[in-house]
Amino acid sequence: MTQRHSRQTSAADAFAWLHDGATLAIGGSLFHNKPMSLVREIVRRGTRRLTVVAMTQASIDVDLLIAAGCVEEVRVPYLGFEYLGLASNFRRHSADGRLRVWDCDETQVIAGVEAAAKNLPSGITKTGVGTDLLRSNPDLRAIDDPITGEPMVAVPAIRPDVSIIHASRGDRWGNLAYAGYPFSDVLIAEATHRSGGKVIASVDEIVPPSLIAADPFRTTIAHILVDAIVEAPWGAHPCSSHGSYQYDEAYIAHYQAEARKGEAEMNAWLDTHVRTLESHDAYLDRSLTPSRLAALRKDIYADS
Amino acid sequence: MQTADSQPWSWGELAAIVLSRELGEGEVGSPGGSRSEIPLAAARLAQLTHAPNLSIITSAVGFVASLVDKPWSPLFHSTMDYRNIYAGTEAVMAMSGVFHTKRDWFFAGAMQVDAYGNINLSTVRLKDGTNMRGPGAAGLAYSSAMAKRFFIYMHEHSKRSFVRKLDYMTAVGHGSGPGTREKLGLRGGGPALVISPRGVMDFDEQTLLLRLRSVHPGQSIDELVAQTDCELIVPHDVPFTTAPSSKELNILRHRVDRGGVLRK
Repeated sequence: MTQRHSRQTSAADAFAWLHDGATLAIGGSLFHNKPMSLVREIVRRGTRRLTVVAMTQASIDVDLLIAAGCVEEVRVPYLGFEYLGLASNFRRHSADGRLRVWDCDETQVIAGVEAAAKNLPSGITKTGVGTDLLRSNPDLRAIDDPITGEPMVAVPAIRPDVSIIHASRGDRWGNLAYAGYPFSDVLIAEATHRSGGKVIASVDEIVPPSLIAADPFRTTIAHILVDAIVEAPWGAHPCSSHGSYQYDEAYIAHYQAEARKGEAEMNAWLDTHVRTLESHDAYLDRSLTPSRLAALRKDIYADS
Repeated sequence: MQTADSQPWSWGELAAIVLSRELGEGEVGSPGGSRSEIPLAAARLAQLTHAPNLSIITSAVGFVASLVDKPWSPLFHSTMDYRNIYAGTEAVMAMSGVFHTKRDWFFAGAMQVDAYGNINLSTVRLKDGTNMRGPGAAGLAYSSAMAKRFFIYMHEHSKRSFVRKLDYMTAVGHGSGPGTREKLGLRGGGPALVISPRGVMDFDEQTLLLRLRSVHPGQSIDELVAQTDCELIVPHDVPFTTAPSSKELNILRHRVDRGGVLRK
């Protein structure tokens, strides 16, 4: 008798799909819904030469992968820490040529990823006409609209080999329900799936499938787009799981302080907070305390 | 960061109040940029003063919000913060909707701005010949092309930030002057205003060049001009920026920014 296959797996098993030189898309935005437990697993595996696409904004997720030497090229419209400062590792690695930067605007990356989702060779946008983005990024092509002749920009389809996203909860079939904003995760999953890539989702909680099926309007991403689901409680930490817990500002500020000091300090930080912790459970047990987690949970309520 | 010297308001508060006056009744727009709490506060303040039918879309998360007749309103550093749902959010747009919905205005921060309001968020050439990376375009190449108008807020007013030639043009303002935007087919009207800790600038209707509109209380015209490397039209009479009224400050501090985020 054949059975329905569970897509629940471990991070270590899921990343058998991720090879050196792959195009990796990361969901969430800025400090929110970042699949950080999966990012840390990539660092521990020592994957190299990744092209990282983050839609629409990135912070510690991509900066940390750069510091760990996993990244060859970034396709990220905004890589920084907003009011907590600039991305130090991004700046160092791009300044000395270790990192290639594919300059872009949010809507250009979206045009490329949408093209992949629609199985088209390129996407067309108005964004970037007349700017230096077209000079510094040769993949962005100035074209004349074939209908009107108007100046436009064509972006080649961006087809992720693997994408990683984080949701509040899901079931073993791979259905994902977001408590807060899903940012561009739906589009990332669509594009990756359509391109033959693999979508790996971490969730704070895997719940019985009956709970998901009881309210399918709350299912943000359908299981058909998800190849692996990994249970990772507090898996977005130090970023927020939007609507479930707040980002850990003190932790990110500490990261920023160490990252600013230099590569030696950054490496020491990576050893302590990522490399020597063999799993996400070890991370939770050694980096966090129950009272800290309770505070992050409580912080989603704005009570002035 | 420069402060509004010895004035009873911070630079962030002054910027929020001055910018709020630019936002019109019935308009739809998005706060954004490098310190998005400033334009977010400006838009909320406009709703509570002269523009009760103005609507905000926090562009990164699609929160559509109005503070009118709402009980209270925390202000946070980031427009993506989940807690902004408590600040008058009535609907949440899908990401596609965020990019498909027409806006009357956007805001932009920048590392460099030139006399035509073109901006650089990508990379700056240092004296030693190396390049320093900024955070990137975010969505500003898009919004500068599409919004009816946009406002530029600069946290520093110096020769390093108001430059003759950008090291990199991330987003087009008025390009190289009259006709540029039309030739490129850019949709909106381009930058309408630049605010810095020293003053407020707009663009001359004929030449589209940067023009000094007012200096902030406590600032001098000479010093502002001395710290500006790009071309700047200085009219014969330059008034002081209208100081925040007690009503504006009162609403800002009690209904928009109780926690004092703009005073930090």
